[in-house]
Amino acid sequence: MAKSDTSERRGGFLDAVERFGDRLPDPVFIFVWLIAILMVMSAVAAFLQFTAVNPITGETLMAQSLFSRDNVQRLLTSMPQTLTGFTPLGLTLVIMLGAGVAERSGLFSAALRAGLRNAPKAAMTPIVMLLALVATHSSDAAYVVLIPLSGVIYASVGRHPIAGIAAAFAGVSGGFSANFMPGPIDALILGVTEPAVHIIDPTWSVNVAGNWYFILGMAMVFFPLGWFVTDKIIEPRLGTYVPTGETPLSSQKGDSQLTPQERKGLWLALIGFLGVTGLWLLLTFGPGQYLQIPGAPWDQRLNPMLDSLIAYFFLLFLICGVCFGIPTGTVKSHRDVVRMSTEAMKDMAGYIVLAFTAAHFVVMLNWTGLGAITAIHGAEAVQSAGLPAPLLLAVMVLLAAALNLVVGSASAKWAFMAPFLVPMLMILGISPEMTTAAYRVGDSVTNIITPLMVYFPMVLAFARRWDPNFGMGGLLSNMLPYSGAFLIGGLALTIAWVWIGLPVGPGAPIGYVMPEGVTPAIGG
Amino acid sequence: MSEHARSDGGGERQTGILGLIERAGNRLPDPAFIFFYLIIFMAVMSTIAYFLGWSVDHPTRRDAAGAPELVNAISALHPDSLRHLLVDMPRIFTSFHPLGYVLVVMLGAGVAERAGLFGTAMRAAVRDVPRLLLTPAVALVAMMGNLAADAAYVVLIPLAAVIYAAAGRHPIAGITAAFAGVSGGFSANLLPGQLDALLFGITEATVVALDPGWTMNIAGNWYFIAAMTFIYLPLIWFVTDRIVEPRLGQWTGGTVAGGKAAEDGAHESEGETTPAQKKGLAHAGLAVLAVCFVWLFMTVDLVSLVTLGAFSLYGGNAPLYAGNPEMSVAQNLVPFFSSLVAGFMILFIFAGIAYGRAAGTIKDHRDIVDMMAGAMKDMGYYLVLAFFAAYFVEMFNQSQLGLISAVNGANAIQASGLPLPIVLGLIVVFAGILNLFVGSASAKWALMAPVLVPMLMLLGVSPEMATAAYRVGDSATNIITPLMVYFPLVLVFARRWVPEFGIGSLTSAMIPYSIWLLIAGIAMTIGWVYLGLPLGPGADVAYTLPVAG
Repeated sequence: MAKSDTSERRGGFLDAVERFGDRLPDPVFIFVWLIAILMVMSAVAAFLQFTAVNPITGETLMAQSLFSRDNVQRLLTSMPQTLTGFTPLGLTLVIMLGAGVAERSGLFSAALRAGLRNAPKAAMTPIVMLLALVATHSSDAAYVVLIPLSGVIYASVGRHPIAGIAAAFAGVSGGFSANFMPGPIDALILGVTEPAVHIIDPTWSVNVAGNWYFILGMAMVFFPLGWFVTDKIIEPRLGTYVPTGETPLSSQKGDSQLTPQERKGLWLALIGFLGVTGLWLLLTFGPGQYLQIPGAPWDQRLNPMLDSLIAYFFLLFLICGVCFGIPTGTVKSHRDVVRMSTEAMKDMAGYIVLAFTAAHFVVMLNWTGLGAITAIHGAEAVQSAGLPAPLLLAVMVLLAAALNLVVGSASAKWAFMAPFLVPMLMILGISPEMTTAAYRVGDSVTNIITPLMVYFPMVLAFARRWDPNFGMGGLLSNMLPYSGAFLIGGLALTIAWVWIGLPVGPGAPIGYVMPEGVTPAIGG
Repeated sequence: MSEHARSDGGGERQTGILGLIERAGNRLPDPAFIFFYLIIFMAVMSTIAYFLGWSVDHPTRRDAAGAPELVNAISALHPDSLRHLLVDMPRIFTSFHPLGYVLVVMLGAGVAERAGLFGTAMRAAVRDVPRLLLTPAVALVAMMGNLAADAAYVVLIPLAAVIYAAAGRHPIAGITAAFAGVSGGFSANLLPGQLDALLFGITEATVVALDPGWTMNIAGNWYFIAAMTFIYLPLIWFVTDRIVEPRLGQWTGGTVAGGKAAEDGAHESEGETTPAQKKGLAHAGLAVLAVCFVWLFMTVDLVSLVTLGAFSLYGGNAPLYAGNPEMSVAQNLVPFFSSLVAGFMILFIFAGIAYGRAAGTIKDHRDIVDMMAGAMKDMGYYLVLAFFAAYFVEMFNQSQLGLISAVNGANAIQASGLPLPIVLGLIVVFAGILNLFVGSASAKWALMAPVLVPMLMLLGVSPEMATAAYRVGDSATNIITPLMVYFPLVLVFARRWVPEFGIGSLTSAMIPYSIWLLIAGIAMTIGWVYLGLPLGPGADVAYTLPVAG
């Protein structure tokens, strides 16, 4: 096969991306530099008296210098509040407090193995894809458990193990945002959207389910695409698997079986799931109607329930994790629960550092008014160019996909894109939820072809256990078809979604209707 | 881990009542779960109170008809309360008061600590200081540190541990001494500060009903709080060196927090500082000077000062000076004090980088990010604690039980008809007990003052004296209540040195301070009233109602 020269060529492109990515500073410092640039820009803009007329209120916005007395005082006296007021921080930490327990008790891992074991040969790819799309609720378990396990299971039925690894990797990482239910990633990304929306509309508040229908649609599109690519493109390319030397088959085969304790734990976790979900349904629809606004129209009525989803996921993960951990012995006393949550918080350490600089960038951009001014002028330019909204969003998908090759972190990228793009698209009549959804399409599809993605080397190591000669280029050339298919599918989905005008999630239409005055560019 | 440590560490030495408290306390569940059980208890308690219809007339708020507003106990299971608790979960967590302060300062301190600056600087600093004078120095700085409120907790307490370890003493003793100074001596200070402004602001609001001519004087407790400082200082010294440190035993862990680092530090701890470290210290010193100068520059308009106002750098007041001519200097400096958290973070980062570059511990910006992330990792457990503590505090506030008990208690003191010094002593005790449950100094005073201040004025005691008595009680018990918002933080700081240090260990270490400070405070209050000494410039103990009234 022409495999060797493919890997050479890809290696060249790969090296270029890798070199460029390595030269970029750490995301934390990207924000430090952005803040420094912003400070200079704000002083220049204030000196030149940049203005824009807010199309909503009609008031004139003046660019403010960050060196002004008020802004200096505000920066220095409210630093702690700036950090804690960064919406995604609280959302993410709360969910992780619970998800940490579910993950560390072994629940996610056991649930994935339960889903995979005894899968028939032909149904294996769809099952792996399905599990991989759902498993992104817990990124670690998805990468560490599902991907190697798919290799083992494929090999055990005589299919090529690397096809299994590729399918799982594509589902987990290429379909990063595609899912059947909103989860921690939604909280993280939509949380970043909130401060950006406040540039235009301070009354808007984040709804974790705001992308639900869209990510479900993404999952529906990516699922058959991944299946087709695996079975019709990747597996024929790989040919028949001939074991070379020692393979992990024998050593890992046992791991894929569930122990009786794990089986019991999964049943208990299911009861926990039903219990928490039942509690929420009871609180929402039962006597007292705790989580709805009685008498309000149906599109607003359930807002308290949607807002409480963070608490729901926290309790769900916590309780299911404890239910699973008791019979399996991973949770022996309450101290284990505290330890697991603590470890989850330790994993968030890097994120808190990033949140500190990102929060300051977003807040300071707000103080200068430059975000709004740029958005207003940008929107005017787009409007006069006559670019239709679906195409605009498609361009955004491509932009996010390209940026994703060099800046891995989904929330870091969004934190500097959102303050410009979200208000601009709001002025053009596109809701913040739709903008976020389009960003997420682009952010997902190229994950699997960038060596800067943190899990990329790990996946490569998993593949090498089966074929020691398998290189970076090999992995990349196998992932490119997925990435291409997902990108085309995602673009088509975004354009069609806006065209038809489907809601992006419960209570989240595509159109954004301005509070007063201006005609939206597209209908809601 | 903890089983093992308890069996070889505790055993024979920890006898007596403090040992008993320590063992009982450590047998309690993990602190995070103590808060969890307290949350359940609050849910039950508030529901019982709701069904029993507990209520009280609000001391100041009036409804439309002018009748006192009735405050009812509210059940946590009431639809509105429960909805708030579920819908606002992330906001309840992040608005937990200390969280932002702690994370911001630790981001900076993490760099300075991991670059090796703290260890080296403290070793260099204490080499020539007699070990004996360490405790009074720490206690004095800690009491003065109250001027900066939140920054004092997050900066001084961990630093004290490093200093003690560098001097070869037990770092936990440093933590307790600093904690006792900052929190137990919360009101003690040599200068009036923002707390005085806050409390007297509340006092004034309650005085005007009887005496509209009374205006608040921010120095109204100055002599009293200065005397408190002089009385508390030897007490903290004595308790730390004679009671707490002997119980802790000999420190053998090295000069850096955390077991692994302690080994690295061990081989160089006694040795001299290397030339690279010396150079690093010099660079760090320059960085400290630079940051201090910038802060000075932003607080005082130096150009305007030098040119006698002819030229101004800012076209008005400096950014960190409010510059309101109707307010006192201490009030005008409020922006400066609030900026100290940011100031310390920037100071630590710059000094840490300056040191690390010279000493070779920081090679590029990725090291800085790693150090910050490392500091946040240390805060992992604190985040878990803070989540539960935030929920408890929120539910307690929501239930209104704090308000109801404060007003009822004040009413009971008013009804007792005891002699004056005793009444003031009782106020100290009551404030001390209430303080175990309601943390915020100003919130408690806002509830008690409307009842106590007018009552004492009618009995011929000045509003300043009433405020002073309240502050004594409000300080001493801060350090033994796990409900004080900074208590979990101090526990986490202590655990960085001794991983098995439990909530019982910390409480038993702090109880001697609390008792001594409370006794001294009560004696001082009673004595002050008895002798009739002035509380501050223009503030006497005695008070006569204006005739025109």
